[in-house]
Amino acid sequence: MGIGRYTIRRILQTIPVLVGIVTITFFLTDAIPGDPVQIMLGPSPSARDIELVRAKYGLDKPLWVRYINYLADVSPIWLWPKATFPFVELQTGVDLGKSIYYSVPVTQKIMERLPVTLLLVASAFVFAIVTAIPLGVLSAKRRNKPTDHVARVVSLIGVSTPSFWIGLMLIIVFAYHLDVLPATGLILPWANPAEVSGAENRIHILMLSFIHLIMPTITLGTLQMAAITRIERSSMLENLSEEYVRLARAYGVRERTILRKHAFRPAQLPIITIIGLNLTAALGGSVLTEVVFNINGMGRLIITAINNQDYPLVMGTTIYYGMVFVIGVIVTDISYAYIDPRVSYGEAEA
Amino acid sequence: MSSEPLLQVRNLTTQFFTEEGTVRAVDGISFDVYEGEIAGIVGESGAGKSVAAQSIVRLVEEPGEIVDGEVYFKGEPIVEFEEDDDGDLAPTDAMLTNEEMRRNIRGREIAIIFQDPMESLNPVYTVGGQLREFIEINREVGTSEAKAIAVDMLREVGIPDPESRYDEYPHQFSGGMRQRVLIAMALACEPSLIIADEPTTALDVTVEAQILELVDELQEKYGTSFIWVTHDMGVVAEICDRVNVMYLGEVVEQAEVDDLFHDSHHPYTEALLASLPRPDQTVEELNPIEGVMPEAINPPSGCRFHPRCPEAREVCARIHPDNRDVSEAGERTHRAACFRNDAFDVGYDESPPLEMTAGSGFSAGLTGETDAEAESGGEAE
Amino acid sequence: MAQRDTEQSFDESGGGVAEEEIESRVGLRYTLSQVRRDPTAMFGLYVVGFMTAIAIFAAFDHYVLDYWFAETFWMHPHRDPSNIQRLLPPAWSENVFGEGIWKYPLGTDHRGRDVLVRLFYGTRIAISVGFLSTAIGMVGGTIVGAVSGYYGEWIDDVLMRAVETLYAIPFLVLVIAFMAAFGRELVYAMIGVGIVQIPTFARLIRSRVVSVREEDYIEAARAAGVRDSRIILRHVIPNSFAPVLVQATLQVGVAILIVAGLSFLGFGAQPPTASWGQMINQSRDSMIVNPWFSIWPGMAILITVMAFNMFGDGLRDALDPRLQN
Repeated sequence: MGIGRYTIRRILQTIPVLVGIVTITFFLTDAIPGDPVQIMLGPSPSARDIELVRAKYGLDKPLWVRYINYLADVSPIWLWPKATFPFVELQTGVDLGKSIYYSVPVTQKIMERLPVTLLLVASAFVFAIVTAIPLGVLSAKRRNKPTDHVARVVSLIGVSTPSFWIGLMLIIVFAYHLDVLPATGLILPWANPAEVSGAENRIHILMLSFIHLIMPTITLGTLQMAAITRIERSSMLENLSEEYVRLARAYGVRERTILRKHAFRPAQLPIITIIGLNLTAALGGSVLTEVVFNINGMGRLIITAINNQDYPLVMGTTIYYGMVFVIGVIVTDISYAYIDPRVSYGEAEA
Repeated sequence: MSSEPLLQVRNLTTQFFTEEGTVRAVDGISFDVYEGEIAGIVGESGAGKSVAAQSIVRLVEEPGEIVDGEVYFKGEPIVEFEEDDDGDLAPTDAMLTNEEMRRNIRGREIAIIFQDPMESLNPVYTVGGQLREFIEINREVGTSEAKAIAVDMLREVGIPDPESRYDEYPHQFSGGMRQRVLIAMALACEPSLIIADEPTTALDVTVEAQILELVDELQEKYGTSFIWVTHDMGVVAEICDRVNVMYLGEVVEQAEVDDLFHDSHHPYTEALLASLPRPDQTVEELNPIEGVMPEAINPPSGCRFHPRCPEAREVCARIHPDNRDVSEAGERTHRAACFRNDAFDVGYDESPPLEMTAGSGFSAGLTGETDAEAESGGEAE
Repeated sequence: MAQRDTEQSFDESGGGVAEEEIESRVGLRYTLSQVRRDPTAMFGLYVVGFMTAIAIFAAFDHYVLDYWFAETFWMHPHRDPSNIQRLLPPAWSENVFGEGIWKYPLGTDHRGRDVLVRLFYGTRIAISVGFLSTAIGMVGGTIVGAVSGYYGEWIDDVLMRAVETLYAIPFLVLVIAFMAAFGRELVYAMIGVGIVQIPTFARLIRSRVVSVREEDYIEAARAAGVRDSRIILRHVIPNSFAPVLVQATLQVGVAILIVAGLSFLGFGAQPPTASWGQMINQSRDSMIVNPWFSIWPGMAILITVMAFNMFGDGLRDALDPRLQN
C-alpha cells in the first residue's frame, strides 16, 4: 500500500469521529439551560413572536429531528429522502446556521476568528519544536552532565506551569515594567495596512504582527516545548542504545553522523505522534492565551457564545475545534508514514 | 596459516561498575586468532562472551570499562596497559586513540555482526543505503561504486534480485535475509577479521544451518578470519577451527575443535558437550548442566566452576587454577584450567571430594536456550 | 476474599494464573522500592503529602467546623476583614497602597483579604478536584479500555472511535461546554475533567489488554469457562496496574492545571470560595500595582503540579529502567 492509499484510508477513518463530534456538541449544547429565544427577543415578548422565531430557527421540532437536520446541514454531502423518483435528494454545502448573538452566519464569524487561532497555535508549535529538538538532543548527548540537568529542570517546570500565568508574568515584566512588548491584541501578518493604526506598509504590518506574537507564542508554546524536550531526550537516549546505532559505531561511523542521522531520524517518530496528540491541548490552551492577551480568536468567541447562550455559535466553534484537531492528526500521521516506511506499507514490525 | 597471530588477546579484563558492585564480566582472558581461521568463543549466558567480543573493538558501553590487558591486531595496540607513576594501571601512549580506532580499525579491519538481525538494521533507511554508507566509509569509494559493491555483495550472500531489494526497507526482509544482509555488510568492507556475536541465535534452526553453510563457503572464498561467539556446541562443531570455552569471565579451556570434542580436559567442557541434544535422545535423556552459573559480581572462591562441578575436590574451592598448557605430544596447543590435569601439582588426587551444592531443581540447560537477553542485559547493567 | 477467588480460578484453569499475578504484584512492590532510592521522586512525594494534608485540614475546617478554626486562630478566607487594606504587598516590601505588614505575610487581595489564608484554603479545591477527577477518568478509562481490548472486533471499533471523538474536542472547550450545559459549580468541573481524562486511560489499558489477552493463562482461564467479566477484573486489569498508577500520578498534575484554567475563566469554584485559578483571574486588574497577588497563586499551582510530575516521573523510571538515569 502506497502513501496515497494510506492517506485516503486515514481520511475516511475520521468520518465517524467527525460525526461523533457533531453528536456530542449537539446534545451538549441542547442541555445548556435557558431559552435562546428569550435572549433574542428581550424581556416580555409576545407569544406570537416567540412562535415565529422558534419556527424560524427550527426549535419547534422534536430533538431527534433537529439532530438529523443539523447533521444534514453540517455535512458537506447528504442524501435527503423524498417522495418522488429518484427518492433521494443530494444536498451539498455546509450550513452551521446563524449566530443569535452576532446576527451573522456562524461560518462567517468562525472564518473571521479561525485564522487568528491557527496563527497562534502554529506559531506556538514552531517555537516549541525549534527550541525543544536541539535542547532534547543536547540533553541526551550530554546525559547526566550540567546541560542535561538544566534542560530537565527547565522542561519539568515547563510542564508544571499554568500557561495563562506565564502570560500574566510576561505581561508584568515585558509590557508593564520594561514596556517593550504590547500586552494585548494580535495583528495578522496579512492584514491590510490601511486598517491597522500605526502601520504604513507591509513591512510595518509584519513587524507589528511579529511583536504582538512573541508573548502569546511563549505563553502557549512553553508547555509544548517542555513536553517535546522530554520526549526528544528519552527518544534519543533510547535510539542511541539501539542495536543499529551500535552497529554504525562498529563500522566506524562518526559520532556526529550517528547523532544527526542514525539515531536522530528514527527518534523523531514519537515526536510527530506527540505533536498530533498535543494539538488538542494546544487548542484548549489557546482559549486561555486569547483571554490573557485579549486576542479575538476562536477561544474568546466560544466563551462569548456560551455566556450568551448562542447555540449555533457554540456548536459551530466546537465542531471547528474538532475539525482542526482531526486534520492536524491526519497531517501528523501522514508525515509519520513518510518518515517510517513500516507504516505506509501497512504492516508493523514483521 | 602464518605463525604470527592476526589478533592477540592477553589478560584482557573488562569490568562493569554498577551500584551493586563491580561485575568482572571478562576477567583476564587470553587467546589468539590466526589468519584464515574461525575461532569460537563458547559458554553459557553471562559467561562474558559478548563483552569479550565488544572489548576487542573497544565498544564496551557504560558502565563497562576495559581495565587491564593487551589486545594486538596485526601488531597494533588496540588495548595496552602499563603501570603509571602511582602504580595504577593506565592505557599506554601507544594505544590507539578512539579516533584511530574509528578510522582505521572498526569496519575497515574488524567488522562485527550482532546477534539480533531484527534490531541491527535501521528501520527508517533502506537496506541498500545502509550498506552503501558503511562501504563508502570503510573502502573509500564513491557513491556509485559503493552501490555496485553493495549489490554484488547482496547477490553473493544469496539475496535474490539484489538490484530491486537494494531499495527496500529492513521490515520487508525476513530474519534470515536480514542476517545475510549483515554478513554482506561485514564482508563488503573487506576486513581481516569479522566478529560474529551469536549471529544465528535469533534465527530458527533451518535458517541457522543455511547461514552457517554460507559463512563457511564465503570464509573459504575470502579468507577472512572470524571470531564466532556462541552458546551452542553444535555450531562450534560445524564451523570453528579453534575453540575457547568461557566460564564466568575466564577462559577455562582452549583447543583445536577436534581435540576439544574428543579429548576435553575440563569438566565444564564435558558438561557442555554432554548437554548437546542428540537425535537418539528423548527430552528426558538430555543432560543439562546442574545448577545456575553464579553472578560474575561475586564469583566463587578457587575454581569458579567448583560449586557445579561433579569432580570438585576440596582443593578446588581453595586455589584458583590458571589456564595451563596440557597438550599431549602431537597436539596443537591445548590449554585447560583444571587441577585434574597433570600439569597442575596442587594435590588434587589426595584432596577429599566436595559435596555438590548446586542442582536444587533448576537446570540451566544449554539446549535451545536463547541467552541473548541475559547476556547483554545481565552484564551491561 | 480476592485471594480465595484467585486460587479458585487458578485451580479451575489449571496453572499459571497465580504465578502471573504474584509476579505483577511483586513488580509493583519492586517499583516502589526503587522509587524510594530516587531523591527527586521522594521530594515530590513529600510535597504531594504536604499539600494533601493541608487540603484535608482545609476541607475539615470547611465542612465540619464551618471555618471555626480559621476565624479563631487566623482569619476567615472568604469574609472581608473589618479593617480593609486592599492590595497590600508582602510583609517585606511596599507599594502604592502602603507597606506590607506581618499580619498579611504575602499581602492582601483586591478586597483586603489575606492572600496566604486564601491560598491555604484554595489547596482543597486543587487537590480534591485533581484526585477525584483523575479517579473518575481512571475508572471510566479502565472499563472502556479493558472491554475494548478484551472483546476486540466491533466493540473495540465503536469504543475506540468514541474515545477518539472525546479526545478530538480540546479538553478545555469540552469541559466549558459541559459546564455550560450542567452548571458552573465545582462538582461539574470535577466530572468534566474526569471525562476528558477517559481517553488517556482507555488507550493505555487497551494496549496492555491486547497484549495480555493472548497470554496462556488468560486462554486457559477462558477455556476453563471462567466468566469474561471475572477474567477482566481479576487477571487483565491487575496486570496493567503499575503503568496505570504512573499515568494517574502524572494525570493529577494535568487535572490541576485544567481546573486552574477553568477557574481562571470563571468556571469552577464560585466566589467567595477561594481557588488558585480564580485568584489569578482576580489579580489581573491589579497586576501593575501589586504583581505579588498574581505571583503567589501561580507559584502554588506550579509547586503542586511539579511535585506530582516529579513523583510520577520517578515511578515511571522505576517501572521502565531503560529510561533511568
